Amino acid sequence: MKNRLKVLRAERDWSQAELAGRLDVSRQAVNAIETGKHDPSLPLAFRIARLFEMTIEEIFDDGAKS
Amino acid sequence: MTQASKGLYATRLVDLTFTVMALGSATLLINGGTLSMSGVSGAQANPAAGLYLFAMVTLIAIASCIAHVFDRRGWDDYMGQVVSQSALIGMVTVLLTGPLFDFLIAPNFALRAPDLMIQGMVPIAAFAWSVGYAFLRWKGTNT
Repeated sequence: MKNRLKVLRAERDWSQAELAGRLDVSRQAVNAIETGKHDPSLPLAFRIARLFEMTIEEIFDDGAKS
Repeated sequence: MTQASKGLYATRLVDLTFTVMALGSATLLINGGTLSMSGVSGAQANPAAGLYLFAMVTLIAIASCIAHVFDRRGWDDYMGQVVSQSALIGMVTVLLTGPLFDFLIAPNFALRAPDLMIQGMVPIAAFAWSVGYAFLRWKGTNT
């Protein structure tokens, strides 16, 4: 699943560790999500969306045409 | 997902598989089948040993279920997935190693796989789990 996490993080000038701290996950988790190696659980996806004040769909793209 | 894989991973089929596995394994444990194969002396002579083993497995499994609840609350979203998915890889490896070793390797060395299984179950599981963990850390949980 593609996502804009890296771009959004860069826009705020946050390190992976800083974002991880704000999301209460490990830095490895942030890295895995950014590189597309891991899809976050629904609760974490909601936390990410709330942190960036966006909808989940604005951050994550599952490739399905709506 | 293809039609074939949908059928293979259908929830009802998996439910049935685990039910058969549970009943079959419980029967083996209670009858002391696993103990008699392990070469533990007196296991066959004392049928209560099988019941003790079954009770112990059940209690430890329940304790593990409770521990899993705390793990779920405590561990990281990503690491939780990696650890649990790699455990599945380890479990499948353990289940396949015994029979395959028994048929392919053991006869050449006059060994019996059950001896290997009891004495080697922990290192087999630990090693296979570690391999699965390394694979998922490398390739991610989306592979």
